[in-house]
Amino acid sequence: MEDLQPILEGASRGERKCQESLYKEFYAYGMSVCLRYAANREEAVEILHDGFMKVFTHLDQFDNNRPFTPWFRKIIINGALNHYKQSLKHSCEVGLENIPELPDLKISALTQLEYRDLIKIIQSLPLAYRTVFNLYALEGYGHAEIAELLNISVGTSKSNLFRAREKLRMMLTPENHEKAYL
Amino acid sequence: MNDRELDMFVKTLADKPNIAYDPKDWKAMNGLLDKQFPQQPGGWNQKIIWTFLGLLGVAVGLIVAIWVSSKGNDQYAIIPDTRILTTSLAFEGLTNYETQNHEMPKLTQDHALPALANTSSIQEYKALAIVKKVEVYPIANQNKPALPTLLPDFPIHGAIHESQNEPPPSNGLNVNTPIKNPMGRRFSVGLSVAPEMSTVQLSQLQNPGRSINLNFEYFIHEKWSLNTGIIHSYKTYTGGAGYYQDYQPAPTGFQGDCWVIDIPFNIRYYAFNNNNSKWFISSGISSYFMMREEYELQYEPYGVNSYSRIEEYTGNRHYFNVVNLSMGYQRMLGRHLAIQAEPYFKVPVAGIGAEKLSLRSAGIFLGLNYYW
Repeated sequence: MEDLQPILEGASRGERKCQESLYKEFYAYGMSVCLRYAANREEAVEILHDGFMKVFTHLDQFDNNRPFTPWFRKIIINGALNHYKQSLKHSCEVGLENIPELPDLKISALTQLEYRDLIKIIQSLPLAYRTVFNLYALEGYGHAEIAELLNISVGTSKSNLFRAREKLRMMLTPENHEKAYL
Repeated sequence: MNDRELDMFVKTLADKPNIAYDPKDWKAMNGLLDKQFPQQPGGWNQKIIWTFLGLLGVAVGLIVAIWVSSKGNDQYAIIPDTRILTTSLAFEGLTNYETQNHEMPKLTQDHALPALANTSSIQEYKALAIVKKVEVYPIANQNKPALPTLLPDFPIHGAIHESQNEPPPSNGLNVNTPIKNPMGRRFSVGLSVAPEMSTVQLSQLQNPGRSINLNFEYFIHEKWSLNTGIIHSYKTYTGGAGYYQDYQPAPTGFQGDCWVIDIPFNIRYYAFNNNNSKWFISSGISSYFMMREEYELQYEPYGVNSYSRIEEYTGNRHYFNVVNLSMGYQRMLGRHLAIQAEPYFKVPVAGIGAEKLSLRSAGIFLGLNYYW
């Protein structure tokens, strides 16, 4: 974190070189979050860039005595949720062509499942299921918080989580792989 | 797999991301930042460009100012310099010196003007009124001691006299047209800097590098000179697919940065000269000594698995492998100093660097030359 301090100060002053350094430093971390919320890589990059733009714009509000990573993660997740709300309007328009290709789990056994395969499986979940699953299972939010964040009821949150897990199980089981599309 | 096991399985795998940095994403982000913060001060690249434009502006302004200021009084001025005499004063002084063989007083402009006024011949006075810069050749009689003040210790040249019908003065003075070689100097040393664009593909031009040039020049003729020196360059360039075929898998592109010592040997021809400015063309050959090369090899993004890797090399040498072409303009700022602008182009005749790339460079040197 000591090495990060001059980069943060330079980025806060608008120095492009420092902004680039910060971007490179947190690119993989930010993408790892964004990819789980997005339907594909392009959307993930869009969410990431919105998040970095907020970081660069509001870096002067960051408390240097606190770690940067949680602050950055919070911004990225908020950006992902904004993206979720915007995408809800168009979610019914998603066609089959936008469903990412699922990994061939007959070749890749569950124990040998790679990160990119897992991301593809998560991205193949419907938007509402994917978002609730991310917030609950990976971010640690409770159903009440999720309901408030997404403007849905607690029951809907629980229902979406249940269906997300159900679909994940199906996709992670090779013999049920094709049923996951249904 | 129950709910908890499923969540843990996904969480564990998701916490081990294998995501490589993709420079294309930063380019997109950089574009967004440019739109969002158009007034923000730019990075080094923009600073270099603005510094270059600023220097260019200053140089052009300086040249124009000097040209304008010298335009009015250059033609018919009597130069207040002890080394420059009017024709008649030179006759008078030399005659006195030769006949009386004593030390002559130092001639200044204050001395010169009354002397002119006392000139008995009206014709001579008229001639003096339109005397241009007069430069004096050494006295023919080598047995006489050199004039301590009137005759300087540098090569002295002919004079211009507007009264064309008058024969050139005798008594050891030769009056000729001026030599175009700048002030008769044989050597010069110059220091200049340049923003430099380097590329292996003309379609892949990107950010500029820079060069610093320490140049030595020796005149072998009034219009011809030999040039050498040392140039330190930072070259940055990119390339698309088609390079690095030895690598498997072959990268889809690369970003190259190298630091080079360039030893040029050029010959320069001064095509157009006048008293204060010169145009020249130059050509020659360079040797490259690669101090460091860095290549970031980029691979085609595949889902989240796009990646790049860095290759570094040092010590590659390329003797007489680069052809230099340039042209330039010099403007004299004084008897010894000149300002110079020199656009140049360097093209290799063989591959440069670890990957034998056709690394071409172009830029414009801006700097100062000192003649002696």
